[in-house]
Amino acid sequence: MSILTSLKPNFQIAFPRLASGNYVHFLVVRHSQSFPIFQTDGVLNTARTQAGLDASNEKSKQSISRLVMFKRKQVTPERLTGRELLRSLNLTSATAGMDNFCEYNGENSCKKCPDCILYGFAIGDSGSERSKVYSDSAFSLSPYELSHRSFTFNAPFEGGTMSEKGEMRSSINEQDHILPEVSFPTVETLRDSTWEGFIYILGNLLRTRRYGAQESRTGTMTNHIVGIALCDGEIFSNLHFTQALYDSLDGDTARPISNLSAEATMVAEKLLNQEPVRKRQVIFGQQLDELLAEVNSLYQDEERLRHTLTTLYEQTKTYSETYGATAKQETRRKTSRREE
Amino acid sequence: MLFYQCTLTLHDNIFFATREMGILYETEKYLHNWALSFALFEATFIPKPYRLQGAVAQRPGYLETANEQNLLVLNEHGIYVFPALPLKWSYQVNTFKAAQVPYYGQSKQFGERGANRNYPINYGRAKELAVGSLYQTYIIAREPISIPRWIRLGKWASKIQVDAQRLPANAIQQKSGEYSCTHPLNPIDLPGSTRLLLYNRIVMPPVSLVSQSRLVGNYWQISKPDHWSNSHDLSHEVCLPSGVSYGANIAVTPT
Repeated sequence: MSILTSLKPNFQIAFPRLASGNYVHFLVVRHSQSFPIFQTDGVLNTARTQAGLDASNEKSKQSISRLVMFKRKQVTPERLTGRELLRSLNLTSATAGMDNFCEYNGENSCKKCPDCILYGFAIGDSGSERSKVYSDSAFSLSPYELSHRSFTFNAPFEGGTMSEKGEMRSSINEQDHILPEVSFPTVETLRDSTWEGFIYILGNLLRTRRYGAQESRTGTMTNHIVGIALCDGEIFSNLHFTQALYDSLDGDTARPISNLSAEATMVAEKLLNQEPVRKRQVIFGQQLDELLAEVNSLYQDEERLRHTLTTLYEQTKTYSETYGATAKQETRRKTSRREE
Repeated sequence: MLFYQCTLTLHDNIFFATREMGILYETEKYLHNWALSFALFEATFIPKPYRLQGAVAQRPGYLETANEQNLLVLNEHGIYVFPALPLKWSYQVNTFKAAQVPYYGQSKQFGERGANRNYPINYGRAKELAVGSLYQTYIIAREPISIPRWIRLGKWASKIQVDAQRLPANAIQQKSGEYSCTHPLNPIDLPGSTRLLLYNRIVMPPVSLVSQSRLVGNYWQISKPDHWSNSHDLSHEVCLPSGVSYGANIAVTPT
């Protein structure tokens, strides 16, 4: 039996009305491949944090500035990647008026597709759906000073010059960019999902390539999944993961990614053992490689992918009809009374 | 009665819209005990439905039995969480906006459809409590409870590390009379027999808190037991009112 199939009993068969303790934690090292920009106010986002966790180590206890990748800057591109996939399989549509029309971040969200149910929505009078995907702001492993550089950019005329017929362009500016090969250790959490929902979220993590500003030009990043943990509670934060990894590397963050991933796997395993949660299954190393290979092949196989995501769509639609936005008032009241 | 002392460490920025001034949304530095109660006991004592619709989604019902997610259920279990006192805190201001599919959100100007205020409506600046801030609070329980190590709090559901330790019984003394309380308190949760004489008011929704208060009534005095080392961080004596429960001061009785 393939490892992906063997995971099935760990998941619910339908999306529940009430939150419970079924957590899947994806342990990821997000690794920049080009020059991403994460900023909200004209400068790159940073935060002052302890370098590591060890108070007895000089290097570890110093305070450093780290680049910050806000949580919404992680989830948004992943959502959009997933929505593209749903549209390409005709599960949702971008055409207004269609039955399965779903608009992102607006009052015309369909409130029943996998994106709406898994990542949630909030629309004034139409109520809201709480997200089942949790993220946490990510902090760069290396200090801010070593992880960014300022570049000038301009928008020249077609001839490649900044002046034409005596007219000068003013479109020139300078901008701080994050350097390639900067790592952001991350935990992304999925709660109370079905097996198909797990595949969808994992696929979004593996398939999202660009993060941050100017996504079509720069901002390429690769998500290296180093572990998956199925637990009954929340586990350590991104900051804790980053600091523990910093200590384990003894501050030497300029390592090849294979080396970093291996170290991150070790650190994550160690940290997981310190968490007061029950672990239903923990997937690392060889087993993880097999799982990821299976997920990759599923995404390459049109038929199986369509089957999996159609099943997921049926599940979210059923949820929506039973407890969600398209449920009739009477049934919802009856159900909640029964559960009391 | 069991006492837990909790240290809360912010591992991400926390944001609440405590005060709104145009496009600036400011977070109060004290953490409200009702917010903490939901965060600590969601899905264990307080049910957390994924779907919110209608009046439930638009109007809070913290102390209403008709509301599925109310705090009275914690009263039944004899659990009470005090507001959290900031020990070390800093702020960070970040701009946010509502994104659209084309990756580009044009700010709506005054007079446009939906823009009836004279500033753009789809972005704002959030003054958030910065990562690394440190808080302290107390939890009372009738029976031993398990307190989660990580909770999510605020509008961004930010991760907070909770380090809870049970205080030994000999550290707590029941007393009565006039006393000072340095810990922030929620006046609505104080029992009717306790009177507030003097206090600083911390203005915040849904219920303003009080700090540096002088009270009369029954209280617990918590002091450091002799055998504890300094690492336990119970450096000074704390007096906390006894008989506290959610909504104790207003006439709401669980039915």
